[in-house]
Amino acid sequence: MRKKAPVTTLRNETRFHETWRRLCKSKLAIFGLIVIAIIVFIAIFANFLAPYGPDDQDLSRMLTPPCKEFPLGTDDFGRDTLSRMMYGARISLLTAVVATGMAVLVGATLGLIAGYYGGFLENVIMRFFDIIGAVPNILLAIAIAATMGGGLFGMFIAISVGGMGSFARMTRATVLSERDKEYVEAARSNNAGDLRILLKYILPNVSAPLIVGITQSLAAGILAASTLSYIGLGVVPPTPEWGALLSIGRAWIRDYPYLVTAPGIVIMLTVFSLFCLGDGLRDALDPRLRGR
Amino acid sequence: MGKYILKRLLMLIFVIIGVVVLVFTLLYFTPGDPARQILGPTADDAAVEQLREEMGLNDGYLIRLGRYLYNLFFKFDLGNSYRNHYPVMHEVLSRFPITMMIGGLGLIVSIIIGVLAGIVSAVKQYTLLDQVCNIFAVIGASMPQFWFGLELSLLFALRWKLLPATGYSTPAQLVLPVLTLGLSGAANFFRITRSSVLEVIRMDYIRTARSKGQSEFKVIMHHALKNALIPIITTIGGRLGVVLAGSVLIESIFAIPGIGSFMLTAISNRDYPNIQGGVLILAVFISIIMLITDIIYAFVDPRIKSKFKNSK
Repeated sequence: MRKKAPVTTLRNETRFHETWRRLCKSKLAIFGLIVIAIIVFIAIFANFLAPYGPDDQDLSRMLTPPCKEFPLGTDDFGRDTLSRMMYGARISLLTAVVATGMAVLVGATLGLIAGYYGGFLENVIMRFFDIIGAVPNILLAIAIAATMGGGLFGMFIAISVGGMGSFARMTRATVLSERDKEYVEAARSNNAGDLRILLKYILPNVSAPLIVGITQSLAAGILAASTLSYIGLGVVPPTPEWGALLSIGRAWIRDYPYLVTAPGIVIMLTVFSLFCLGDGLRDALDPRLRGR
Repeated sequence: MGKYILKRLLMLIFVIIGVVVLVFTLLYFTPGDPARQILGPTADDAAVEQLREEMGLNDGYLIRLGRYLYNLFFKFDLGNSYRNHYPVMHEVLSRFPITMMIGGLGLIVSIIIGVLAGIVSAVKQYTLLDQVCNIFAVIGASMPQFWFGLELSLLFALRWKLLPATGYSTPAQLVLPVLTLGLSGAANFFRITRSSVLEVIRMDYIRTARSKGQSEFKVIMHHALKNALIPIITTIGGRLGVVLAGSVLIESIFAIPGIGSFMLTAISNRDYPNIQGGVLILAVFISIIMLITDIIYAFVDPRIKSKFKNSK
């Protein structure tokens, strides 16, 4: 058998493996990854893991402080806070994922179009995002969610619109710097169509900032979802969601502070983990930016 | 220079009109009949129809948009609240100074904390202090701002009874809301300052200053900071927007009667003209502040000024 030289194995390392190897060097990023994995696991299997159902009421035990039976206490209907938080993870994560997905899909597509075709189309698209960008994201989300009358779907739209601009700008900038390069010309001379050039040749260049942008957008999505639900523009009351739990807890903060503290810490931990993972990914994907 | 300001001014007008159209469009598609909301569910259909006609609700989108723009720009009128029929503009503007005060103070606090921590962190890069600052910055950005406010008021006002929980007229009452906005906004300034100082202190002119024998303190404060501050100034406009948007939730926690608590009441009442009026005024104000910081930026940085001088 022929032995392979170590240099060859290094060169054969795929981009994924290389990034993974670099990511593993950052303790915070691995911490973030593990925490997110645990929270996703809990959200998916909430019906097996939660000690009680999300709507199980025990009015004789309402507002019980944390104890053996109810590790995080109960709310004003005698519902177990821990179980509601576990089920709530489903809504909170789902909102962040769907809103980010929509923002990437619409934002990146419009950014590709704007960058590649330029001209009038580019002007219309980018000026539209200038206007959207003039309104702070949370205000925009409030305005849109109010128009949609709240609810889960309204929350998806409200949160995604604010995120589209940054994805559009990101992809447009990459397209602008890549579209006149020789390899694109080569692809064109091979009779590749616009769509093929955009998706197969230009889009991979934007993947690094896009991946980092996605983790940040997920974090922002969780924060925005909790804010909207807290002010009553998100999910409707009996549905457990982290922000909705905070909104219930607020009324009892004077005497039962754990109703506010526990959901807040979970939100913070989730967002913190996403930020750590995002920072780790940014360093791993682009070593030049390390430590900045 | 004049050309630059003119260009930015035209852009501002465009953005403001765009925001107004956006807000009107959202209002237009809001579910429910405004006339029905004003008269209440018991009013008879003929009366509702008459009010619809009077308010011009039966006209098309473009006609109503035109009327909305005309009323806003020439009569300074944003319509009336569905609830108490007060003019929205008057309500929003009378509450505006309070929101501005809280937001402005919060911004100042976050600049002071963020910039100082950023300088220290950059100068002591890779030390324990740097890492601690970094982790605190990420934690600060990870908290829902309103939750942070709730926790602060829980600890300092309810538990330890050190500060008043609500109100806005004495300095002591302002501490908690300003601290909430300031601390949660500091993370951003910290990050920008740190990376900008790190970039600058590696430059040749800093080495020159050091080799002249100047003290490290003077090198950082005099030479490095002057250049490092430029990216910080540009972000102030944008951050003020975020701070003002954050005050929407913070005000209601501390019972401060600004635009924020006004909008939150409107949200629970489904009083759409009030909600969108608040969004509109805040967004327009933020755009104007962004323009002003951009112009200040151009004045501070001679490189930008000269760029526009030459390109006549």
